[in-house]
Amino acid sequence: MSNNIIEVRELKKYYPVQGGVFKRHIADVKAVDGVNLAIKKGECLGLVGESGCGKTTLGKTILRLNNATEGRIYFNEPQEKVEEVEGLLSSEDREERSRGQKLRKKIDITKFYGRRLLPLRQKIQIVFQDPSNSLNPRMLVKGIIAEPLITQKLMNAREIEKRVIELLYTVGMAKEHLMRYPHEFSGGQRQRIAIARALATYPEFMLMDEPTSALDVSVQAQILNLLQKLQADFQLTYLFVTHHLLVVKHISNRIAVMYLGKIMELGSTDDIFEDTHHPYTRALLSAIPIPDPETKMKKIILTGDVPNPVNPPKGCRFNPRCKYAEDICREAEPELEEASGNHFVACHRWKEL
Amino acid sequence: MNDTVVTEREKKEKIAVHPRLQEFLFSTRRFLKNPLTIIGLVIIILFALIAVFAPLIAPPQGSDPYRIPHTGWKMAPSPPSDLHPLGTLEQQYDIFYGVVWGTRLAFRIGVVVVFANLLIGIILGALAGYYGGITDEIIMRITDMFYAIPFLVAAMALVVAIGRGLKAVIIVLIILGWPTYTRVIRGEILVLREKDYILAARAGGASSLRIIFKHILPNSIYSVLIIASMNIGTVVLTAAALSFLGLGSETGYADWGQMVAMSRNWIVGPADNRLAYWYVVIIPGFVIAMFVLGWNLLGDAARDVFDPKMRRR
Repeated sequence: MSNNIIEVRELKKYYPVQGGVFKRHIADVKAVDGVNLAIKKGECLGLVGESGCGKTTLGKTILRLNNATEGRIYFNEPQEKVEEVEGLLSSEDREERSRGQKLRKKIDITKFYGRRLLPLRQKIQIVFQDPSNSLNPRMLVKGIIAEPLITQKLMNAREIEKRVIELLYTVGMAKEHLMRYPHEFSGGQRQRIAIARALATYPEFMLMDEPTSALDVSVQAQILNLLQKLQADFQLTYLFVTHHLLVVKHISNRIAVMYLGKIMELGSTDDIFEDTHHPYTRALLSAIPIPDPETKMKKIILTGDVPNPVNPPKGCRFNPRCKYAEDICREAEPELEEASGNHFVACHRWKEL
Repeated sequence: MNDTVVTEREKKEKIAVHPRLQEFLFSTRRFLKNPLTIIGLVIIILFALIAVFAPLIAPPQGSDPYRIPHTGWKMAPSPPSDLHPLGTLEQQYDIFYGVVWGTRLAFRIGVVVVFANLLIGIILGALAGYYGGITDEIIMRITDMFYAIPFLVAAMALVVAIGRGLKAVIIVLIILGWPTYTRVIRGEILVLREKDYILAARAGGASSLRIIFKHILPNSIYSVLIIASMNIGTVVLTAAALSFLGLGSETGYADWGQMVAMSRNWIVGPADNRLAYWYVVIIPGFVIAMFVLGWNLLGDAARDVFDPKMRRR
């Protein structure tokens, strides 16, 4: 556990709900509510969950497109340093805590603003879900891909032009596409352009925000294979946000399952699919359609809806919909504990199930 | 065989014009497809030519070219004649001269006022829409205040407060005109702000200024440009109304509104010939109407061409 590229500690992102004439602060939508997550260098971590569970918010907060409400995010910091700061912050002693705060300001990226973010922007990039929405319709492909290079002032105009052409070939397009507008391309090609833009500044970490969901199935596979190839070629680390479990099974080394702003289960892809501990994960997995009419799978149908994130249920967040829920589930919130080597689960009763 | 295809394609690429120019040509072609657009364009070009060549068409006679020369003090207007091709107003002010130099004045008023409105409106609208929060609140409540007061009443009161005259009219129209643009730009930006390409630009490290100028304004400016082109006519109309009410230019000035004001007493002729002085009202009135019509037609056409919903995508 020494080379984590991203360490997320107790991250919270609340959206205030305002009401009345004076915009009083009434409540919070707890989109991300206390997430701990470590992303290892070179892996692809899949982040799954149903819509509205906070997976995209978590991703965008790591990218600093949102300001975190609370919590720390460390990017590319040595493990000892992170532990030192975390230790100081959780210390009983007030002086040690304030020393921790001081140290934290230097390395916690949630405390970075303005210019200090710039080097980070170079190393962390994003590919969005819908490429028809993520490319400026009034810019030429050339300008779109060059944009991060221009804003980062990494190279001069001629180098930028060369780099843009190189990037186009990297994502399977050609030089002749340089001087065209996004609307002249198909969905898959547009997503390739978006990927090329994300790759431009030689990033180390890329957030994939459902990059295949808006594409049709035949193109999805091409894009997934391209992403895998790029990951291998450029030693990238992915956080792959999706609600599509089979996509995540195909591409991820590890999977984190999120529900209502919290991580429910975290483990290697095999562990999650073969040795499922959490009842919510089981329900998700049973919903995957199997392309064989002969197989009769018992589907776990969840009753009710996802509770309102303004007012999450007491105890385990999943308890109102969990058929195994007991008194303890309604009282105490389960911690994310290690079930077996590097397989974590947040459930009181996982051993019995 | 494959090779030849590629080379031919490459040749084509080389001959092809720059895509931005292509886009422009495409817009122009669509622009010119509508016959009403052409009418609007012809009207405005005609007015522009008159404004540019005013000193040649009607050579000025005094030190101030905007002062209409008058021959004599006879009160009743004279009908068109060799000396006065369009007749005269009361006190023998030449209508032809007034119309020609009034065109120049109309362009000056319209363009200056609308340009200043646009500038203020876009800056404030961009601030309100992009930064939101308290900035937005303050700017939008100010625009609400402007909307709460009837336009012409506010304009009259302000002109009187500043001191009558054409300069005061221009200043007042600038002060009162920007809220429309602010509102529209703000609305557009609120929609665009959530677009992924704005987030992508931020993730790429673009500054707020760059995002506003490179991503937001190019995608939102057309709506205000359309309003602006329509408003050039309206602004001239309002200026004319203020002049008619006696708050703008002084008597004898080459201002269409003033010319209509000077015709006030001659709308109806003597009992034996009610239409004796038709030319004093009809000519300046017609000119104002044509000017406004021209800009409205152009604005309409611009909307058809630039509205992203009506474009091919």
